[in-house]
Amino acid sequence: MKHDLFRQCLIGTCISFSVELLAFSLLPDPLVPALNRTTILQTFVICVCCSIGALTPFAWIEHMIKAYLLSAIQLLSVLFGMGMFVFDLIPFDWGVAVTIIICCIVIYALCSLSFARKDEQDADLINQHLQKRRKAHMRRKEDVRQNDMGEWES
Amino acid sequence: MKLKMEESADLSEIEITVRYPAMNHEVKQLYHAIQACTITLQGEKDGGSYPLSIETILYIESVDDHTFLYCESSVYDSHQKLYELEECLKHTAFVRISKSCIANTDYLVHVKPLFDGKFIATLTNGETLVINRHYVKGFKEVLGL
Repeated sequence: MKHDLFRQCLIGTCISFSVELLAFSLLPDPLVPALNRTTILQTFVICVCCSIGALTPFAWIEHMIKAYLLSAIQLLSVLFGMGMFVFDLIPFDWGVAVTIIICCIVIYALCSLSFARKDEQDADLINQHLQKRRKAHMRRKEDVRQNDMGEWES
Repeated sequence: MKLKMEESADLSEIEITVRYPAMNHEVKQLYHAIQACTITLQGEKDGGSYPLSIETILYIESVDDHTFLYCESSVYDSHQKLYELEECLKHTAFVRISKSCIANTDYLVHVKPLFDGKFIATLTNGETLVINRHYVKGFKEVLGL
């Protein structure tokens, strides 16, 4: 599970970082700030932070609301990163950046908790049914065993 | 429901006739239950071929284009593809739980939620299987939820 989470964060980071770097390289000069080491580093940091609290874009093809919601958070994070670093629309300020990252993580945590609670309830319900089925299955097996022992004949 | 047993020397095999006043869910369930009793899968092991009652199979897994039937004490090969087995085991206790696995719900002890909407199911022999979130809906339907 930890491996899964790490892999997803890594893929998320790579994809969002690539998108932003692609924007850097494709857009004309007056629109984007000069590409230097600090800008790349800042972009990478924000991509890593945002991806920690979100799922990979692969989740877009999945069917649950959870995936859509978390992917939306990641998309917003990428847009925020692009607005701040690529287009220079949002003046860079560590305070604002950290606040937005914390907000993303809090929203993610709240969503995860609510989904986790729903999953727990589903699991409880499934377990109750499994227990019933299991008892019926054992009873069936016992009947077959007794029949095999010749009880049917008597 | 009335249940009658009749012995007849004229018959060469067991014959079941279900008489009902109107087709309903209960009749369909009964039909599928009787049908499930007649299904056997062919399992291959050590060069031999064995007919396996589906009641003895815990789960079926596909690994590298090979299909394996997992029973309580042994594992058998199957020449059938997973989707063919899934079709064959429709309306039984078997349910697809991931891209590569079909589980017998009669052998599931409990499930636990995992990260990302997945569930982990524990079998009677202690083995665990992951229920992919894509298949959770179908899994619940088989359990009647």
